Amino acid sequence: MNHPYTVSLFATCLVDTLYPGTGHAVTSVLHKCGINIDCPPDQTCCGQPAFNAGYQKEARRVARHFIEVFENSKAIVSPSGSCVHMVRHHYPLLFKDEPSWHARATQVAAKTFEFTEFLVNRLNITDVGAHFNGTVTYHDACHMNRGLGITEAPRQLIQNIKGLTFKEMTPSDKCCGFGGLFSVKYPEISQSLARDKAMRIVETGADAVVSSDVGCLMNIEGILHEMKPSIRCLHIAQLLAGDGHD
Amino acid sequence: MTEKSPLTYRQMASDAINDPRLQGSIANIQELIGNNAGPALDQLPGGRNARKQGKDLRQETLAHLDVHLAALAQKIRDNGGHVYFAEDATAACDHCIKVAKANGVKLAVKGKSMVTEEIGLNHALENAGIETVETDLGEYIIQLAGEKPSHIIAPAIHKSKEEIGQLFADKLGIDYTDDPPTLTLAARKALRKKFLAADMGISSCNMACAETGHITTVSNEGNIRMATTLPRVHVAFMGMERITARLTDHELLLALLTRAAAVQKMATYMSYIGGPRKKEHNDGPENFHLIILDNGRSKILADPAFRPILNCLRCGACLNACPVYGKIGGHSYDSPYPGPIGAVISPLLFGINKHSDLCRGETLCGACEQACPVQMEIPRMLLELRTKLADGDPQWQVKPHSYMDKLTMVIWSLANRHRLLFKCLLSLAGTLAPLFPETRFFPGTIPPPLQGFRKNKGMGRITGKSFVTRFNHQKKPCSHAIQYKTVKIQESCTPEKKEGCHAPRH
Amino acid sequence: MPLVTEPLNNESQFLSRIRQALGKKHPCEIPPHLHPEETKHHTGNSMGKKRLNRTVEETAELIEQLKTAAAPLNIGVIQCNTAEDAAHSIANMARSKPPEWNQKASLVAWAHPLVDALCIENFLKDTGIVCHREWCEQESGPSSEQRQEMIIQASRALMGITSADFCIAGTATLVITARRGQSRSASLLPSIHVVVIKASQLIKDIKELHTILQWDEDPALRGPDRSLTLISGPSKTADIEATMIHGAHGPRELYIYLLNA
Repeated sequence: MNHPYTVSLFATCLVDTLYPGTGHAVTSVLHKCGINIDCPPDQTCCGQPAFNAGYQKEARRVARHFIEVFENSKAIVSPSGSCVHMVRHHYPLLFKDEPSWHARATQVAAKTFEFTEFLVNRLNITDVGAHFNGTVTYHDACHMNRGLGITEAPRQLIQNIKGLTFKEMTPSDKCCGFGGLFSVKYPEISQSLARDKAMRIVETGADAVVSSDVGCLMNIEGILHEMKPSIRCLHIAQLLAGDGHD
Repeated sequence: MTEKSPLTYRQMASDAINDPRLQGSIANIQELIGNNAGPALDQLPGGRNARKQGKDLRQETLAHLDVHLAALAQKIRDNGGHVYFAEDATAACDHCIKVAKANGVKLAVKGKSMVTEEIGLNHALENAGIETVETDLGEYIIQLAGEKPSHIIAPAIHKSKEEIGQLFADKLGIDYTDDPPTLTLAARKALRKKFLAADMGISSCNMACAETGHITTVSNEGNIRMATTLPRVHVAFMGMERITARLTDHELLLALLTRAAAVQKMATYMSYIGGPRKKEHNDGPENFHLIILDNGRSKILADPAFRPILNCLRCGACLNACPVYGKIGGHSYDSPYPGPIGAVISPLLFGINKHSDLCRGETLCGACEQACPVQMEIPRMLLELRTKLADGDPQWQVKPHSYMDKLTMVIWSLANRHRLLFKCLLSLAGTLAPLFPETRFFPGTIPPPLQGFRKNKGMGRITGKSFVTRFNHQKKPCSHAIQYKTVKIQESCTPEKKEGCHAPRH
Repeated sequence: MPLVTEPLNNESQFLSRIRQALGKKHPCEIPPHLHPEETKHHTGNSMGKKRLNRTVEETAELIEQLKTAAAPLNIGVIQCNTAEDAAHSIANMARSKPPEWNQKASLVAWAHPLVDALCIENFLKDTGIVCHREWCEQESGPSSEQRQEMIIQASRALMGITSADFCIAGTATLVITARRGQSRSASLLPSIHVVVIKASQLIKDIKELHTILQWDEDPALRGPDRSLTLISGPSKTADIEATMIHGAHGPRELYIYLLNA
């Protein structure tokens, strides 16, 4: 069970400030798998909010900070497909005109992994010995799915949880409408998409909806709670850590 | 040119979202075509690689666009046709009117054409005293109703059969019916008269071929064949990028087009037209004019970041995949080009500041890129447009969109580079948050996505405390978190309990 | 007819703007790999010969492909041993279907060996159904009155009988070129379009068509000249609430009579 890894956890700004439960769940799952974790105390955000809004200068500054904080890590694990997509695919683009930073960005990008991707594809762990009594459905977050191409890893992990019934929603890969600042600037559109997503979730009869991006869960949560309060929104790490009830 | 306020776009979007019938019909087409186009494309020889080949073909052709257009024009002239190169919308419309006047045209029939929507041809012809009748059933309905198309291949998708029934009863003088076959028959009869009486037929060009010197038109209804067979004069409009180098290029590109647009292996009618009829032919136009339009395209061609948007086949696949289009419908885009393709091409053709909402009003989910038969990176281009809006761009004459947003981002960026400032702001937010307990008393002050964690006490909320800080204080996670246990779903949980679970106890 | 002449300087400005956008200093010829006449010529010839030398089994396979493709597109495929059988069946259809635009049914027919061989008039005796032939004796083509007359005949006709250059089996696509005596409107205006072809006119796919159009030894088959149309079914629309309806503007029904001989 011992793996020669010490990984750095990039909690992401949302987990850091709003969803500490997800952060604790990630660390507990990784500990259970025998992974040593550090969590660089100077970490903040990957820069995605500014990047997606077009503010590349500001995004670049934050990206430099991220690189400085994490470039000495052996591996970086993050519970957000969207942030990993940012680091892996957008950092090299952000620094395309700055060769030295580009090299550093590429290096960091190569060792940054999404949480489930790290477990399944790097460590070959598909069963963390978790229990969950109930039915669960999975929302494919857009950047996780289309950006990183990760769809199977989380499903494998979920399906190996004892006592759990897995039920796909149709479609599972349609956007929930979050889109970062999009949901702030165009709330009507964002909320109507979240409502559709919540309906698809309710249709499955699941007890919980699971995803790999806190942003999506945050967007879905409010409406889902109005629609059917008994359905929980959980980050996949929370499910795997067995703290799904809370 | 007036700056469009966000409210207008948001208002139009809201109206569409609150129209259950519109929501139903868009959902229907997204399901019928959107869900099936991808698998149909994957059945092409080469599978997923077919799209890559299509993209490469388009890029290769655009790299020598000048040569191909010159070859096309030469061959059409050799065949007795006329070719006019129009720099902008006005030049194109004026030339068409000139042709119409020279041939004594009183009535023109039109096939569906995005490019004539772009240049406002109908309006120009009507002003010149030439009656212009749209003949694609969807376009005809829209024209009778005085509205604008809301989908690239299904222009009347926003109209119900009841609305169309009432419209036809009013405008065509038939008895009211909402039976689609009866309504279609009524349009068939009314338009047959127009086809037989028209002096000029106007068509678009789905793609032209430099090697053979012909234009290709694609339709299912047969209206384009009517408009290009019966009237004396045929005027075809093409955006300058819509050309292939070789005839063999048509094979792949037409297959990509019809599969992506309507899940068809082949459209019902595809015509290769290379000039006016020969003298011994019984029918066909005696005059053939091709108008090739720039109207801002050469500027797009010159910018490597946006050149790939000229790969577009106008199939509408991105509309059928886009979750945002699925909610807000075509009219919210306020442009002849709706959907994801419109969100990129409308700002580029008509002004980035003018269409700033189109650049920013997407979730960047990537469904459009996934659906595109020629792999256009629409999300990347939307990001490029946003970058221009953020800091301005003299080359594209873009002014910074919002100084307030810029200031916010500068502060945000500062806080995210200095952990101490980051923590201070977080504490401040944690202190202020309880002062706004019920968001409904403060509409608009708290963005809806953040309302979620206020309403739902289950998962997260602003406490002003940082996970990272607590982790490093504690050095190991609390004992609860590492114990695996069977979870009871229905058990309710209070924030206090959550705090008790995770917060470090000092 | 007054002609509009296009100012050429307009064109050179237009094209130079494109060259500037592409970063090209001088106009250049089409790059050789985009114009592969030399390499393709040989393939073209062999493909043309392949069509002429198909075995019975290969033809049977194409016929099966055609039937499979035609069914979902609402195209009727009727195999006949002789022209007489086909004529009999076509005449029966003309008798049984109600005319759409006129009180009395009428037909228009191409001047084409396969259509002529039907001698359809012989099967319509005593029915009062008239069949208009579209042949014009003058080499210079019909007068404008004659053209107008032909279009009116076609627009009132119940049925238009034509042939085709080819039929692409895989997609049930008819390939029709406009020629003397072979109006475009005969396949477009009548309520029913009937096409008579021989099994030897079946080709595999659009690739084979394009090869023939560019490289066939018979210049009459090469093209696309002024007007070539690919027809894959009766006219259809789904513009009212996505309801599929046949007969939007063109023919409501399409039948392919496939002669084995």
